[in-house]
Amino acid sequence: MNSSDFSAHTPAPEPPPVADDGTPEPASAADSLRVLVSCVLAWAIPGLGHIASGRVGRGISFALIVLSLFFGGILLHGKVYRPEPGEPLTYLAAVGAAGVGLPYVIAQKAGWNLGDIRSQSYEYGNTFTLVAGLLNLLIVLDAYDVATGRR
Amino acid sequence: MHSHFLYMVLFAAAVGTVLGAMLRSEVLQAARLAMWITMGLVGTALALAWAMYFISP
Repeated sequence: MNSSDFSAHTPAPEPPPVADDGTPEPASAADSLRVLVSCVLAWAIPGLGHIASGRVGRGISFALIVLSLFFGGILLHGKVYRPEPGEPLTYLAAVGAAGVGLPYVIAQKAGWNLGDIRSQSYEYGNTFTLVAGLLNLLIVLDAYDVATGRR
Repeated sequence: MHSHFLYMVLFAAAVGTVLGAMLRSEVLQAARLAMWITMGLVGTALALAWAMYFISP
């Protein structure tokens, strides 16, 4: 087992290309597109950016954890933040929660975003959904590092 | 039934696992860091809870 990626068949990341004088070569358009696609995939579906870069085990682990946290928060009657006029902090919270990608859109469209303030687990649910988005933003940054060969 | 402590432990474990996997490349090292982060989050929460007991009105 390749212990560096939690999966059995994981290619080692390629080092960034360097010129003869040792300075990094500028990325080609294809490389830039690949990195962009990897980051967009990582945002849209948690873990998919890592899977697209060959880090299958790590990507599946991230997907399981982030999606469990997000939908677990909804099951705990937490709300999924969205911008509310007159309440500036909800804009920040919405940006954080939207970091989870398509599940955020699905939750908003399906009406799972309201929560139940009477529930004992309401605040826990809020925290779970918000932190799931924030963690996925960190995972997007990690996917960027993987796609560019820094990790 | 709601177990606030269980929710806290689950939350800490999820955060610890993601951070451990991102910050360490080896499985064993990642698991060890995840465990320390999880224990640190839970321990800090319990310590703060006791501290708030002493300053409660």
